[in-house]
Amino acid sequence: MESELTDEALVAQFRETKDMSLFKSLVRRYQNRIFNVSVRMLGNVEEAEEVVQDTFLKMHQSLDKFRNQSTFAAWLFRISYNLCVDQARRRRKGISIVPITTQSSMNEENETESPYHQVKDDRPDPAEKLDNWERTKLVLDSLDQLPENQKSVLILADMEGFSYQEIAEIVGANVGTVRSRVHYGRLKLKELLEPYFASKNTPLTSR
Amino acid sequence: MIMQDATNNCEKIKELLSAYRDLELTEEESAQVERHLSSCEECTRDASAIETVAATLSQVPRLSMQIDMADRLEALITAQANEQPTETKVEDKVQKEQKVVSIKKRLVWGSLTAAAAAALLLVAAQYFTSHEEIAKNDLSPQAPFKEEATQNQPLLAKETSPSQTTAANNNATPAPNTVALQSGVSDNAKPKVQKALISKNETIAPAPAAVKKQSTPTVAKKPRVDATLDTIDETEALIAFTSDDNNMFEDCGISTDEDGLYAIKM
Repeated sequence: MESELTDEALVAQFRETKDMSLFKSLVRRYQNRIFNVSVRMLGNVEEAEEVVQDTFLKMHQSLDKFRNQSTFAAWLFRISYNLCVDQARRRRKGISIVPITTQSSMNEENETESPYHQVKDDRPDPAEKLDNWERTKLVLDSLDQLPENQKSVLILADMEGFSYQEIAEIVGANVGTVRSRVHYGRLKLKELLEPYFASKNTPLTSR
Repeated sequence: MIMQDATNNCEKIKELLSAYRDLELTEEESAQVERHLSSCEECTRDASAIETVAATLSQVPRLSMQIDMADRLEALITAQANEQPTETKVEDKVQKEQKVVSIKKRLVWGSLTAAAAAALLLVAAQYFTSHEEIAKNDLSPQAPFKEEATQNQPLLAKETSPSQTTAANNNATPAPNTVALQSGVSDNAKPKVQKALISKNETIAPAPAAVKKQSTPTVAKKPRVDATLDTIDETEALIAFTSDDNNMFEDCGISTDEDGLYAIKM
């Protein structure tokens, strides 16, 4: 029943009834997406988990401030985006709360028994998995070389499928800026990826 | 001319290729890009590369949490909701206790000051009533009082019990000068004593006035343990006054020795 409701309807009902099951429905809808974006932004599973928890605590505290001026998802991801930026800033200043055990994303994916997450990968062929593993590692390493603002919008646009308008709300920029960051981020990523695919004699094409 | 237009057009179109891929262009812009791509191989290759990069990113495996954050969050929020009122109560209690301790400290110091002031008044009163009598008595009539004062001071310094202070207060009865002054050993009549001391400091022979004030019924106003802030302020003023003016006794011709005994310079 709750799963059929839109985010905004769930929020409205929760405001009215304070029924925690509605709140939990919202959490279950978004926890993995926020976790995924946070891991990609921070490169650290534990920090990302902190961000997920803090995002929903903050959401619970400030749900009254959500006025439907944007989508609920954009409003929620703005909270988590700001937490990620804060966490990255703290880390730069050397005051990270969570010990930095920077794991490459591919290591995470190799550790299928990780207590924190699991990778959804339905392809059974080990050779294909390995190929995919290398490919993904290359992509994520290249992504890390981009300026932070380009990396963020690419994660939100290409990994999470947010519209430019939503991304603008999440990162606090105008739509034109987002469009520019997406475009130049992709061009930069293309430059970074081309040598690898050329050496592997594998055309950089989507499947 | 045509080539130059095409180059300019290519630059403009290339800027739009990502937004075109993401369906973020207006219909008009979209149609413009499509028309250009149909006739420009270079821009078509760029469009393909952008599509590839975007698709590659979208194919990066998604991570998910194995733990269900919903249950943990519910527990956290419920615990916070239950803790908040309790914390407030504890904080209030601690603040109240600190306030009580603070008031007690102030009362203790106030009592000490009042005792010293009362001792001063006693000696001063005797000085002004009869020089000869004081000389003859060789300070012996004051001995019990002085003893009481010296006993009271350490007692009050340690004292934290409101009941003890109150018990001392209960002795206060405005009466003949000597009695009133003795009762002044307790922390009664601090405001009045303070005024008397101030006036004494201003004039050379203020003691009779001070004694007059002391003997009025208003002297019997007693600060209670649950003193109001006004009372405390008066006490603080008294402490500040006396601590800043240690030579006051000498000004009046009165001094104390190491044992706290009072001597009058004749």
